[in-house]
Amino acid sequence: MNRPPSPKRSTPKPLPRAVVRTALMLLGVAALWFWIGWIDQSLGRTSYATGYLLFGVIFTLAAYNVRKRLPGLPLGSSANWLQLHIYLGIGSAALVLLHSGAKWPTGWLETVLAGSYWATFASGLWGLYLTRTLPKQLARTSEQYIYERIPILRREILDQSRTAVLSAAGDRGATTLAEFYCTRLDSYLSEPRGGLYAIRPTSTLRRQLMRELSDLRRFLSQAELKASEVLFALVRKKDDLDFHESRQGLLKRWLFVHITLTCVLLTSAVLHGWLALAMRGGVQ
Amino acid sequence: MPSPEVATTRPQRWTEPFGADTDDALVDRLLGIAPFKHMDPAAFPKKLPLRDLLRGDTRVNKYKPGDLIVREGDYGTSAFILLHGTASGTLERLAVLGELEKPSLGQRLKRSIAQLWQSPKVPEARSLSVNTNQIGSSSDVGTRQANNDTRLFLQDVPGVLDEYQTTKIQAGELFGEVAALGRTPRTATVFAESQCLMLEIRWQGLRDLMRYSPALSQHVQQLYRKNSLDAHLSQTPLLAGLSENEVQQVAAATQFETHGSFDWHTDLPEADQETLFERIAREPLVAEEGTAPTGLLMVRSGFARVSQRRGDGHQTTAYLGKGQVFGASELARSLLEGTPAVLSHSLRAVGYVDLLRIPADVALELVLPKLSADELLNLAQQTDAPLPARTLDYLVDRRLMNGTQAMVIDLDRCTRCDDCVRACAATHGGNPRFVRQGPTHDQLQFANACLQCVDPVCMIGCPTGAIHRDAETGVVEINEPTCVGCSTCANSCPYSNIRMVDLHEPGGAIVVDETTGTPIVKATKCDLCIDQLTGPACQHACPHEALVRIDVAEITPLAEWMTK
Amino acid sequence: MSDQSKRHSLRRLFESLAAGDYNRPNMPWVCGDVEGGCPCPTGPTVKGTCPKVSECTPVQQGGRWVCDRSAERGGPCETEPLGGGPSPEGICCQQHSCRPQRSTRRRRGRLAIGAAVFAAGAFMMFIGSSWRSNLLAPGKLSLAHAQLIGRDHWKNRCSACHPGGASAATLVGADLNVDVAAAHSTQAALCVECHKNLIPPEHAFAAHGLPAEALPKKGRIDSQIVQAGFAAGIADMLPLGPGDQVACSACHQEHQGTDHDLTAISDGRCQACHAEQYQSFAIDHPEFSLWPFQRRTRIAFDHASHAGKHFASKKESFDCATCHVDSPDGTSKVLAGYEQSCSRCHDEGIHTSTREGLAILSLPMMDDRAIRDSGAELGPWPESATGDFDGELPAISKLLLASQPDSAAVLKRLGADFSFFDLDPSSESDAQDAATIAAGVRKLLSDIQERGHQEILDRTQKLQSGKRNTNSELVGGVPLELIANTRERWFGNARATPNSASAIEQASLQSAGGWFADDASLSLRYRPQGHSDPLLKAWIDLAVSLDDGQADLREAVLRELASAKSTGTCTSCHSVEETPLGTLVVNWQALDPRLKPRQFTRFTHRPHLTQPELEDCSHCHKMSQQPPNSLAAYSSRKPSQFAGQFEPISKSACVECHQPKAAGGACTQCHNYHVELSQP
Repeated sequence: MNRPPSPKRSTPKPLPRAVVRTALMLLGVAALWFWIGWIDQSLGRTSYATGYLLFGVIFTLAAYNVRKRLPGLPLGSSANWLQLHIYLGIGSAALVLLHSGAKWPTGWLETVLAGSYWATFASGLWGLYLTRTLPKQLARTSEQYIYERIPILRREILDQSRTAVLSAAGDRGATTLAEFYCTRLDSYLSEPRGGLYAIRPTSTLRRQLMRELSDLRRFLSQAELKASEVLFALVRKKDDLDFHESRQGLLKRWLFVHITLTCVLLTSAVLHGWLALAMRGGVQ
Repeated sequence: MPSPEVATTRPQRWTEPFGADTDDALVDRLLGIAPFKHMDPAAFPKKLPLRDLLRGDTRVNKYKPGDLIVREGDYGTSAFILLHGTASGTLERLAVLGELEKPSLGQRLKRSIAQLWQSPKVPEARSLSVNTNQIGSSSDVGTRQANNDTRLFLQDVPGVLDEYQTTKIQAGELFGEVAALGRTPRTATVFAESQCLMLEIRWQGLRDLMRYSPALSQHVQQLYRKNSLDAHLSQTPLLAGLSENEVQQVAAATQFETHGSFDWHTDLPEADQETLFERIAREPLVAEEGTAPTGLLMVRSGFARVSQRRGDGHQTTAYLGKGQVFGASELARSLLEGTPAVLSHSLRAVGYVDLLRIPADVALELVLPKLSADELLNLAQQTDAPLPARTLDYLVDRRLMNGTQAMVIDLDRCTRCDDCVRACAATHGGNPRFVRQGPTHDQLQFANACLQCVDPVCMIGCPTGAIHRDAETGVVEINEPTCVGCSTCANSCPYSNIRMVDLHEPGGAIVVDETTGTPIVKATKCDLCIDQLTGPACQHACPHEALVRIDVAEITPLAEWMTK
Repeated sequence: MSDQSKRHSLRRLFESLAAGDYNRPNMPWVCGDVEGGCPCPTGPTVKGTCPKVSECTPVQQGGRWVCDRSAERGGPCETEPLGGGPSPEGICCQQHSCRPQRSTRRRRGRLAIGAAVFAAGAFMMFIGSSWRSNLLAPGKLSLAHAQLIGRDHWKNRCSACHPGGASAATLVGADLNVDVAAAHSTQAALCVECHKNLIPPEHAFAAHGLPAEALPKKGRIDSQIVQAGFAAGIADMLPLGPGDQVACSACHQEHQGTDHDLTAISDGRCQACHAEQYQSFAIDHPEFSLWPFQRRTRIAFDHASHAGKHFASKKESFDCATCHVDSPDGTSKVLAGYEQSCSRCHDEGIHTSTREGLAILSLPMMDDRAIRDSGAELGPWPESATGDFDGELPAISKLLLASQPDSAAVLKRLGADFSFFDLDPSSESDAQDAATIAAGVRKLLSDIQERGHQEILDRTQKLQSGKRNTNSELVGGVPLELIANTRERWFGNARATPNSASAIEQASLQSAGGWFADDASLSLRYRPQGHSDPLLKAWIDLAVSLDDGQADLREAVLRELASAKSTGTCTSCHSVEETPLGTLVVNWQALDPRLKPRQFTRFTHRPHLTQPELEDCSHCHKMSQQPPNSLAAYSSRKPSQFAGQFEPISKSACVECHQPKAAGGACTQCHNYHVELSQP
């Protein structure tokens, strides 16, 4: 075989990337701390220094969205941008604390600004948690579904289930399965799950329906038994679809929350910055 | 509201002939010379008469002294026959050539920026005006214009003749057929010494000619042994240290072997009826574990599975594709330890495999001693495959090991944000060129994007050569103006990675055939963003490093990516 | 092809993936039938309408319509479940019609942009409303400033301090109705407008509010970034450079809440400019050296001799608090005053020294013959004052005579401290001078009698080169009848016989503050009323106020009035000293710290004295172990030349408590940034 022999690894394993980057971020925050201290000790206005910097940081963070809209340009890979986005975003909290003096503002506009920043920050952390946990949950299902195609697939399942039930019923007029289908399964298969399931999906309903269906098997004709096998598979698949719709939908809705908050943050930050410059108390 | 449909004529195979100047008179003259005069027109089917083949798939090119006809390393889809004049070829790399000129960074950047607003809002929008001049590969870039082609030419032909070892090409001699048929890079550079006339046959034509003319077929095989074996061997890394003379000795001893009789993409497990072990056992055995190796086995084409007995069955430990070697490790160990070599693994053909066998004694005598001590030691130390056997089986059973640029998505990281799809659309005129779905294995999803196969079977059967390898990068792409929408490539692709799309006129109307009223379709696929600055836009756009374009033909890149 | 099915055996694995078009998440519209599960193959148009196309165009074959659906769309749909083929009229069975919907992304984008627009609009609306000031204020004002803004200005209160508020308002089109004059000012100028008492406007923004020459030249600022060239705004965040003006807002941050301490400043910021750098008070702040003794005390008081000798001899305890009492406001220690502190012992001495009264005028002995020999004439002169030249003019007489040109010339020629005894009777000029003085004395008395008290004031005014002098204490309420009687007696026709008893003897029995004429000594006298006699004080003040052109006269007068043996012995305690401007001043008052100009260092006793161990003054104020003769230094007029009676206070005494975590060691605890130039 000419498989390239792997070279003997004698070098120590490098530190995990996240550790190195976190250390870099903390180093940056520390450097910032000293810089701000230096400006303060030199009679400079630290609130302006941190303000300009914060403005730049917030816009860099928001620029990730712009970067995503310019995929063809060699602006650096999106993954690197996201890493920058995450560490800069977390680091920005330190900058905000330095800027606001670590106290909650009393002004109305400042309250909106601080509120929208911390809400955006919190939604960012939430999103970080979601994007790190939900993919693993989604990957557990046997099939993967594209969000936009879920309604189509749901329709297919419904059609398949109806066909299966009809074919079994047409055999000898056996209606046990058909009745059960009409009362229990048809609505489950035809409609998306609403309400609580979108927030916290559970398998309770699926397991209950499958239990009921297997309890029913004693009363089914041969043809119906065959159809019930199909139904089992379809009930499971529908549950997977619902699960994907819920979780993928959450990921998409989360981004909406984050982006909307960012828009409010940017607007109030611009107003705040403009006011701070217009109202500044210089001697010139 | 504008009409939702506009009508046009449906393109056919020879609607856009290979050579615009190829006329009946020329065909008559061609039928008077070898090898065409020895062909039996009656042997050709009615649908594909010899005359039409010549007319549709050949053209006569004039070359001036110094003009390059083929260049080493290029992917070409044509074979040539020298009609008149003198030309020479060399296997050496001409230093004067350097690399092909690429569009400058500025030009590419300008295009990247322009596509931000030039992307039409309509899916699959195309301008209806077809450029009839644009035929075949137009990627030669150079300094001289001829027949709508820009040709490179050598300024100093005598100098090249002095400096490099060259071979004269005789009138009537066929060359370039190996690269054309085998979908491999050119192995030689050929240039005109004097004014010369060349008949260029595109590989679709050559393929049909060979099929109905056994003499030509035999001739081509002989040529391979004579012309290409040395080059093939000298390109093998294991033989890199050998002198030319030694390579010739090895070539003389080398034997051709073919195992299995099915194409890799047709011989497929009947998953329901056959267990994995049965399937492996059924695959034609090339070399068996525990026996003495018959030599170094080099894969010329096709795929092979390396397995090891475990319990009652066989465990896949690796797979081999074109250019890879089996048996070297055992021979190296025997050379180092002075013990007789015994195979520790079995080799089986997946579908079929064409092998070059360098006999064991020749290998031990000529090949392995040329390696440095380190190389030999490395070769002798067999390491376990970095991927688990079930993953290897999955890759082989789905024939994913064919992919050199497979799109692999780590589902544990993928948030289904579709940034990859939108990036793909943004770089392809608003149209995605893959579907983010595909077979999954553990957390890996092998998405519906062109794999850039080692053996691109999609290229077989294209009547117009619209699907071709990019001369510069070897990327398989579709030249849309010549695509007739026959769906052959889409149906040939075993992975369903080529999709036929309905064309829209920029205003949004669907383009339909003026006679039948059915939509005009074109084949589309991933082109790996070869004209983009960023490389594959999908990978560039993935925020979570979940998507990668990776060479699955090798095992280590995937293994390394998975442990990252 | 025969191997078609075989070739497709691999495709079977990927079969489910083969169907359908690409997913196009980039498209703004999606087919409305997606929810129903059967989207059409064409999709909505760019404008979001349904193109309503059929999947095929049926073709007529032998009088029958045949489906022509392409393979890509699923092939001919002849079979029942699909739609049953074309209608008899030749219309495709697969007609699609829907109401397209916006894609998820597009909806998300519209909502996000909507949110931004809403936020911007809401802000604009609020800025335009009358609530504007409430909304834009970044925080509550400090209590003092908030109370300053009156009800009338409440609505447009921003512009009370923010001239920029005017231009900002025009940008958003809001009518802030701001004061246009203020709009052309700067915020710092507006600050100084109110605070000009503490911060004189001329150097308000220079370091410490002082002219550059008042500060040491070398500062740390040399090494820092020069701000010139940066746009305004950016400059706000940059460190200050040499010569930069410091805006009030560099240190005083408003809108930090009602209770915010506007004057809080970190130590580091003080040291931004200071060449001498130290970390903290406790660690490396320099020693105080002589602090707090930078000069002798104004009242010459020897603590050592009082404690060791005088109090001891009377067996009394020497208690600091007897004399050093709290000021009424409690902030400082002040002297209790003469009555409480000194009078018990010192009244007697003062009384003794003033028993004979202060001679305002006394007639010297005139040598009538010598005067006549010189060709001059003595004029009316008491006989008892005629004989050999003798006697002296009292200091006050000299001052009053100095305003008469002829007398002044004599004083100049003979020297201000001449004595008649020294006159040479054989010298014509001396005799003539004596006659001039005699005439001057007579004129003085007649002028006073004629013009009253004003004559005295006018004469002193002339002496002070025209400076208006309204100090009626100089007059001392001298009774004009006394002048008239005395004049009549001494120079008049009706020569009175000398009093039998000395008037001085009698006067000693009179109440203090009275005038009398003593015919025995031919002198007009004033008997001071004890401590702090206004007349005596006024004449001493007049003497020290004489400029250097009259130094001779001044020194002569001071020798008489301001020596240890002078009447009242005023200056033995009230030191005479030279001010930095070269003038002389008599320290009638002890130091009152409350009246001191605001200086760089401040100290308040009150908080310190709450500490039990500090109640004993000597905890900090330790008398020198070897007491110098501190009073000797008072012979000089330089207050800076002195012998300290107390050990200098060392930093270590302060550091005991002034640690960062205890009593604090911040710069501003003891040092002021804004100072007043000391009064001349």
